[in-house]
This record gives sequence, C-alpha cells and structure tokens, in this order.
Amino acid sequence: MSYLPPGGHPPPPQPLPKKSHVLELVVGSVLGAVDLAVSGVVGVSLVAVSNSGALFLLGPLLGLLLPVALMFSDKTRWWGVGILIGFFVSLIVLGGACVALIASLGG
Amino acid sequence: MHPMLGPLPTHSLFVGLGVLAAVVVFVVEARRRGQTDERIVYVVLGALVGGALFMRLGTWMQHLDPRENASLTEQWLYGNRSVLGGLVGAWLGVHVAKRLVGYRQRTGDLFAPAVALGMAVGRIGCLLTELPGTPTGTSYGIRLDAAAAQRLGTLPGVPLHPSFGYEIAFHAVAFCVLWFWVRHRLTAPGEGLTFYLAGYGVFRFLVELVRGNEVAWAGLTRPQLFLLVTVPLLLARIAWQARRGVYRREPADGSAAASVAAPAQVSEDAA
Repeated sequence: MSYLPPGGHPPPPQPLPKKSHVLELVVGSVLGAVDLAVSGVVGVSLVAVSNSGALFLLGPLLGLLLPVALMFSDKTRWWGVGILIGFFVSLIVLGGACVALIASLGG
Repeated sequence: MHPMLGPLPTHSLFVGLGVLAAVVVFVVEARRRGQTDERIVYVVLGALVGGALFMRLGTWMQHLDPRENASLTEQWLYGNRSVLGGLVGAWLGVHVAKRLVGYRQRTGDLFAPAVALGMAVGRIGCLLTELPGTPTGTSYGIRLDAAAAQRLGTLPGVPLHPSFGYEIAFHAVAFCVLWFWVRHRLTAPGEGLTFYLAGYGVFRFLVELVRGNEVAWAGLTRPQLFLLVTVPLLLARIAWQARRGVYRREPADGSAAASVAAPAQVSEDAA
C-alpha cells in the first residue's frame, strides 16, 4: 500500500512551527522590574550596614547574576532575556524614583 | 509643576508610557518589514542595556579636572539623566548586540519611529516636572508658583520658555514624517534613523539656547558641545551616502535597481 502522490515523490517535510517566547519575555520583564527593586533594597541595606556608599552598586550587580546565569541554558535563555529587559527598562523608567528614595533615607 | 499625578511619580509615569508606545511601534514595524528573527530581541536588549548605562554615566567625566567629577556611585545615584547619553548608549548597544548574535540586517528603520514616539510621550514627564527654560517675553511662557520656583531654582511668576514642549512638538512631527512618509519612500535601508538623529541633533542644539542648562565653555552648554562634534559626523555621513547614490529613488520601470541596490548593500554593516 503506497501513499505516494502520482508524481512518485513524497511531500517535503514541513518545518517545525517556531516556538513563541512571548510568555517568557513578558513575565520575565515583570520579574526583571521586581529584580531591580529588590537589588535596590539590597544596595541600600549594604550602604546602611557598611556605611560606605560605594557598596550600593553591589546590589544591582548581584541582581544581574540570576538572569545572566539563566541565559547559559537553552531551556531558560528566554527567561533570562526577559528578566534583563525588565531590569533595564525599569532602570530607565525609574531613573529618578530611586534617587528620591535614597535622598529620603539620607534625611 | 506636577511632580506627582495621583499616587504616581509624573516623570516615571510618562517615561514608562513612552517606552510602551515605542515597543508597540517597534513590533508593528518589525512585523511589517518581516524582521521577526529571534535575534532581534537581543538587539533590543543591547539597546536597552547601552541606553540605561549611558543615560546615567554619559555625563560622568564632564570636568577636565578629575577631582571635580563625582564618584561612580554618586554619578549613578545623583548624576544627570541624559537623553543624548542614552541615545549614544543605545546605538552602541545595538551594534555590540548585532556583532554578538551575528544579525546583519539594518535595524535603524525599526528604531527611528519607535524612538521618536517614545521621546514625544516621555518628554511630557519632563515638561511637567523640570525647569521649563529661560525667561521669555512671549505670551505662552510657563509661570511657576513660589514653591515650584524655589525647588527648581528660578524666579516665580516669570514666563519661561516651554523648551520641553518644543521638543515634544519636534518628536511628534518627526514620528508622523517617519511613519507616514519616510518608511514608505526611503529606499535606503536603515537611513531613517540617521535622518532622525541628525534632525534631532540640530533641533536640540537650537533648543539648548532656551533650555537654561549650565554654560560650560564659550557660551555653549555641555549638550551643545557634544552635538557640535557629533552632528557634523551625522551630516557628513548623509552627504557621503547621497554622493554614493544611496538615496536615489528607483524609477517606476526599475531600470536603476542595480545602481541603487549595490551601495545600499555595501552599507548594510553600518547600523
């Protein structure tokens, strides 16, 4: 029993449909905003504990570790990209907000 | 001045809305042009990383005497947020990302209308919260009340140039020109962004005359000094591309297709 078309050639294999990464990117972006807020709090805490303003930047740097690590695996890469997008968009949008926070903490 | 709109900080609210508008325009244009390759997301990420970093650090080494410059942390927390620095950073970030992921198609035409609309919306936040500009005798000048004038370091009741309003108008017009005219007519790929940035550079140089920023040298503000170097580079690029025939339009019968396509392809690597 043959299922070949009259021409005798089997139809070419159809390419697999591309997987959409919209969910990972959107949810990841929200998580990225949360990540930035948490890292900001960590940075402020480090400043409060050590009394050294220079340690503030350690907070955001620590916040980047997780998404960067996620980018090394194929399965989690798009989560990492989403979180990084959310992190840096929030950094742009909330540019002045964290200054106000630090200023208020400083009295 | 309206630093807060209800419970939300005005500036952040409008910058956020601007980013949202830019994302929508970028996605629509990317789909229209069929640039839906996954790697385009990395290119956008590159723009965001570069833009966010240079927006904050772009004005870091502004004094020739290094002792007068802020520390890295001080600059990060309290330094100026520079739109020009952000644009340069985003441009660099796009180039680095494209190199890293091997994306060779031009992306300027995707970014140009998105950035224009995003800036038009985002600048509303600046208009409502920042020092509007220098004193003006015009009837449409913005008058600050005593509290706002004290916070922004100016005199109350004096009409001031709405310099951010001028910028909003520029970006809104630029978006309309890019969206309804340039993207349907300009055959040279990626050049829409070059025209937009050159136009904004010239416009911004003029707006600085009424912005009220600190004069740094020879009667010019820091943005003007920066633009004095960068705008001629952009204009030189446009002139060079024009001489090569990159902007020449194809006649209806397409007989000049080869003469236009060749230089356009050569310029593919330049963003």
